[in-house]
Amino acid sequence: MSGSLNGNSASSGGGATGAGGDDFFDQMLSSLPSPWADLANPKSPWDLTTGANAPRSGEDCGGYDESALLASRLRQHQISGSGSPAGAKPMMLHQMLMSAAGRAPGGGAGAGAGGAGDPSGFFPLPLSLGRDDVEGAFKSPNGTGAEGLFNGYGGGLPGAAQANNQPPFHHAQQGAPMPAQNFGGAAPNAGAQAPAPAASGGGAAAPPRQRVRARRGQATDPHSIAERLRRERIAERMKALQELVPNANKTDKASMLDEIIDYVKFLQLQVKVLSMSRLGGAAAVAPLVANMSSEGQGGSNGAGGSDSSLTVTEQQVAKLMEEDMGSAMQYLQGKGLCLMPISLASAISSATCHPRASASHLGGGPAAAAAHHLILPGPQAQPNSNNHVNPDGPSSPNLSGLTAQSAMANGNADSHKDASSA
Amino acid sequence: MQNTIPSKQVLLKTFLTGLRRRNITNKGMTLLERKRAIKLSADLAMASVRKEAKWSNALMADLSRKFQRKTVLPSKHRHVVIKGNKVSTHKRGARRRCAAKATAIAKCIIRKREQVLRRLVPGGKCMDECTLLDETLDYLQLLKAQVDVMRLLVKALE
Repeated sequence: MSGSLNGNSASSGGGATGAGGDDFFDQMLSSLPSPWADLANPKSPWDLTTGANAPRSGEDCGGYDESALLASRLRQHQISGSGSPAGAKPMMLHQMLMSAAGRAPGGGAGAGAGGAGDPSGFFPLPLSLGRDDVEGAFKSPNGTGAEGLFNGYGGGLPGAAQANNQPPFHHAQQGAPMPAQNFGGAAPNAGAQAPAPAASGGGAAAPPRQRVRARRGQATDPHSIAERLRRERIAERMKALQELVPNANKTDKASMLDEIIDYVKFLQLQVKVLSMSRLGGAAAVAPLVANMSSEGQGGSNGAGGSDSSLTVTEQQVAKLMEEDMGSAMQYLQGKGLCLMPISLASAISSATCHPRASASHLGGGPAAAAAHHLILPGPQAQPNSNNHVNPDGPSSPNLSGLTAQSAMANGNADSHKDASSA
Repeated sequence: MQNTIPSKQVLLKTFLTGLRRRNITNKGMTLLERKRAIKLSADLAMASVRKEAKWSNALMADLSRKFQRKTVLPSKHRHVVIKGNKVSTHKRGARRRCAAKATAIAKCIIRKREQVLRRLVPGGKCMDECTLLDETLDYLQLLKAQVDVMRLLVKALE
């Protein structure tokens, strides 16, 4: 039976279809003596050949079926069997398909490559089969399709593809296009791993042609190139986002998107919550805003600007402070203001912009005590107990809107701070 | 891509100015009204710091539509075709086919999440994927800055 495979097939195929059939089988036989010999050894799947002889008669249009049959046969053989030819089988399929394509006028190169016995050259063909124009792929002189792929894939695929070949071929139920498609699916993955050597290898392996050399892992049509470009752009953005979003060590696009979404929701929620807090008091301060605008201009004018509006209050508070801290605080609250130690303001202002002129003043005198503190707009007449301002520790230094009153001895600051926190 | 980190000073200034305009201090405002006004100022401040971003314009258009006030900054309306439908129908079709294939399932998930993101970022409905990610980046930067500013303010006032 094994012998009959070779003999009968050759004769029947050749006899039925003429030159095309001869061509096909000649190439097949010549290029693949040993693997066929292995396969041709008695295995029940090969019984199919006898049944399948009939379709072989219609060579040109049936070439597609042939390859399907071969594919299924190879697969069966793989499943049933032996380890050693297993690796050779995918190559065989490709070679046969390539030879089938080689029947076409442009197939000389294919045949030549097939004759060289280099399996690497054949892998592109399933990709071309995977496309809708199977007939075209077989018959056309391989203008852009198979040859381009051929060139592209020539180099690095064999190693990767051999590993990939098993699963795609198991999927091949319907025949050549299916494994071709799956392989086409697997190939870009494999291709993505080693683009450079493949491209160079492909260039070296293919005979010189004036065709567009496709990059590894993609066809030459503009759609996939645009796709690839778009995907790269998206990957760039994702990387940039990764730096911004905390906990974004995920490499997966889906989980990255998830993290981003969570973070946006979180920040939006924070804005909402913060706007429900007592920020409203901030709007009450005319001097505050005036100060900021003047600060925007010149910085050192800030103290002067605020002085005019707050001087009276300032003095009043200072007076009160001499007597009793509590009354001073109440007075301030009545005005809707709060106290804050200068240390915080210094920290803030030094961090943001030019140092305050007031920070450098040193002076004695209790009258100026109040001036050493920041007088901020506070919550107005709030019943709760948060009225004394003493922000703990250093908050972030960017709050540049705080005004520092004019100078005071530094020593007073601490004592006032202590007092007001009582 | 806009890479400038938003200056918090400017943000704060704009924020406070906006707050003043809204006249928050009168005690007649309920908590909800006040919250809305503050949030409005916050959004406006954010949007005005980054005027060239798409989300910023979309946000301003949205806000002016909602609040109809003179104090709101003039909005630039952009008439952009909304491409959302295409995504949803594709997703429905893909759902049926992607039962067995892991990559297709992953794509479904990604598409779902992308849609959520579009809803979150102002103006996201009208962007393609690349732009969406760009705008998200920008928006996140601004949001973070705004939250920091507000936090500082709250801390300072307590």
